[in-house]
Amino acid sequence: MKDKLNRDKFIFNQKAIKYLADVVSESNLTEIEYKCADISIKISKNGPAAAPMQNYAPMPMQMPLQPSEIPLKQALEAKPASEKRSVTAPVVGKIYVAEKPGLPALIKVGDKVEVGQKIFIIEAMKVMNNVKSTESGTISKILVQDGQAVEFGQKLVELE
Amino acid sequence: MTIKKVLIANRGEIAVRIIRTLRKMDIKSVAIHSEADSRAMHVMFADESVCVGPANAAESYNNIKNVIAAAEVTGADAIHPGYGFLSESPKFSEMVEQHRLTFLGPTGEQIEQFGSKMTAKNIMESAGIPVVPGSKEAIESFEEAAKMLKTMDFPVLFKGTECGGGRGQRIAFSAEQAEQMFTEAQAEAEAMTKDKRMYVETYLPNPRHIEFQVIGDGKGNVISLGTRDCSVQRRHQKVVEEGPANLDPDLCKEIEQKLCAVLGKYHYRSAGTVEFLESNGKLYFIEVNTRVQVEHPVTEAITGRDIIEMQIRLANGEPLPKQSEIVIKGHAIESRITAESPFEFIPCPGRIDQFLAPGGPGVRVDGALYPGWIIPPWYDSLATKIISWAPSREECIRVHKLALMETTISGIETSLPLQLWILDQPDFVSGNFGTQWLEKALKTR
Repeated sequence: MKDKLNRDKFIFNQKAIKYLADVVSESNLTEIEYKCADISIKISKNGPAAAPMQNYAPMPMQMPLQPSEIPLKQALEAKPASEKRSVTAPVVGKIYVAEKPGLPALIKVGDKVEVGQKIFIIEAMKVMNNVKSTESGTISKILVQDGQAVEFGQKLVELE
Repeated sequence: MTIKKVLIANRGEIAVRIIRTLRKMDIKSVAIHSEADSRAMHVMFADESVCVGPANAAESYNNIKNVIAAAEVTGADAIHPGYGFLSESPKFSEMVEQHRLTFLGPTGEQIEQFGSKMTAKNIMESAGIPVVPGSKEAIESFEEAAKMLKTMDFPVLFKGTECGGGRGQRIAFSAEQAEQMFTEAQAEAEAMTKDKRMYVETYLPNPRHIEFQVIGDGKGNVISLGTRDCSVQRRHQKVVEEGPANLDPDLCKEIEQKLCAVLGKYHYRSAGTVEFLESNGKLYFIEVNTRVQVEHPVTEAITGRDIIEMQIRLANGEPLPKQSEIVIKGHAIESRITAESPFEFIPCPGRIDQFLAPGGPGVRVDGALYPGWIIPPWYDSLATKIISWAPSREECIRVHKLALMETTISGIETSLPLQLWILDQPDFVSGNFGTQWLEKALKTR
C-alpha cells in the first residue's frame, strides 16, 4: 500500500519535473519552483559558475535538477514501520524481570497482561521503578534479560 | 582515581567537541540523546550511547534521573555537562557526586553562589572588583526602587534577579518612565522565572562585553586564561567572539589578579567565565558563568590549551599550570553559524543537503553537521562554529573571512551571510563597537 503510493508520487514527480524542465529551457527563466501540497520541485538552469571571491557567496553545489524535498515534518516524524504492539522502557536503568532475585519473573511468554499491570522493574539511581504495561494482550516475545541496561524508549516486550 | 569513561550530558557541537578531547586522551565516551537525536553526530562519535527520553529536553537532556542512570548503566566514572541543559544546575552537580561520579565542573555550592547574580556581585565587590552601580539587595516593589533612584544617574536598567538573555528587563531613561518600566520588567520576569525579585543598576550605553576565562583546581588555586571580547551581539545573544580583548594591559592584569584571588578563596573548581561591561576604559563586573562556554575555542586558540583536557586533568588530581606558563599569542575570532535566515533571524530547522567545512592553517570548525542530518526544531539554532587564528587581529579578520567564504551549507538558511557582512563593516574592522553596535548597524544596512 505504502509502496504503491510512493510509486504514484514518483511517476507524478517525473512528469512534473520533465514539464518544468521544458518550461525553463524554452524560456528566459533560470529557475522555477513548483509547490503542491507537501511536494515542492525546484529546477534551475545552471549551477552558478565558480563565484569570484569578492562576491562572498558561499558556493553551493547546486544540482541542475533537485529532487523533490521530503517535507521536514514528515522526515522528523518518520519512524520505522512496526506492526507489532510493544511496551517500551519509560526510564533509563537496569531492568529486573522479577520482584526480587530468586522469585519467578513477573511475566512470561503466553501471559495475558492488562494496561497498568506491573511487568518489569527498572533500577535508576538506586530507586526501583515499576514498569507498567501500556498495552493489553498476550505476551509474544520478551526482548530483555534480567539485569541488562535499557535506554529510554527501548522495546521490552511484544504483544499479540 | 583516573577517569576512564565520561558521559557527556549534552548534544550538538559541544558534545562532539568534548568527545574529540576524550579520544585524544584515550578515555571512553558515552553520548546521551533524545529520540529526536538518535542520528545526531555526537551519537555516532561516541563509543556508546543511551537514549534518555523524548524530544522535549525537559524529559531527556534535562532529566537528571535518566542522565545519571545512563552513567550508571554504562559504567561511566565522570559526567561532563557542556553548556546549557544541566550545566548550571547546582542540584545536578550535587547528585552526580552523591552517586560517586566525578562532575567535570564546579561544586553545587559554587554553581549556586556564583550563578546567583546578586551573590556573585557582592562577592566581587568585597574583593575590590568594580561592579555596575546599583542595588545590593533584591527589591520587590517600585517604592524600594524609587529610593535607590534618588542616588543614581539615568538611564537605569531594571532586571529580574533570575533572568538572562535580555528578557525580564527594561531601561528607564528618565524618572518619569521609571515606574512603568519597572512594572513591565517585573511582570515579564515573574512570568518567566516565577520570581519577582528585581534589581536596578546604572545603564551603560553601548558598553563592550569583555570576559575573563578562568580555571581552578578546587583547592584554592585559580589562573586566568586571558580575555575575550563578545560585544557583537543581537538581543543579548553573542554573534561574534574574539580574543584577546583590546584592554589596557595594567587594568587587565589588576582584574585578573583580583579575580584569581577571590575565586581561589572560594576554592573555585574547573572552568568558568567572569563577564564584565567596559565603558570609558573601566570594567564593571556583571556575572559569572560556571561552565565552559560556546566561545571557549577562542581562548584555546590564543593560549594553545585544551580547556576540556585541563578540566579532566584537574579532576584527576593533576596540578594546575602556573599563571606564568599561560602565554597569550596572536588573535582569534569565532563566528556562530546558526540555522536562521541571515537578516530576518527566523529559525530554519531542516535537512542539510551539502556541508563543506573550511580549512587551512589557523582554521577550526566545531560543529555537528553532516549532509543528510536534519536539524531538529527542538533545540537551539547553533549549527556550527568557525574559529580562526592568526598572529594579529588584522590578519585574523582576513583568514576568518576566507574561511567563511569557503564554507558551504545548503538545504537550510544559515547566518553565514550575516557573519560575512559583519567582517566587512569598517566599525568591526577598526574595533569600534559595543554591545548595541550590531543591532544599530543592521538597521542602516
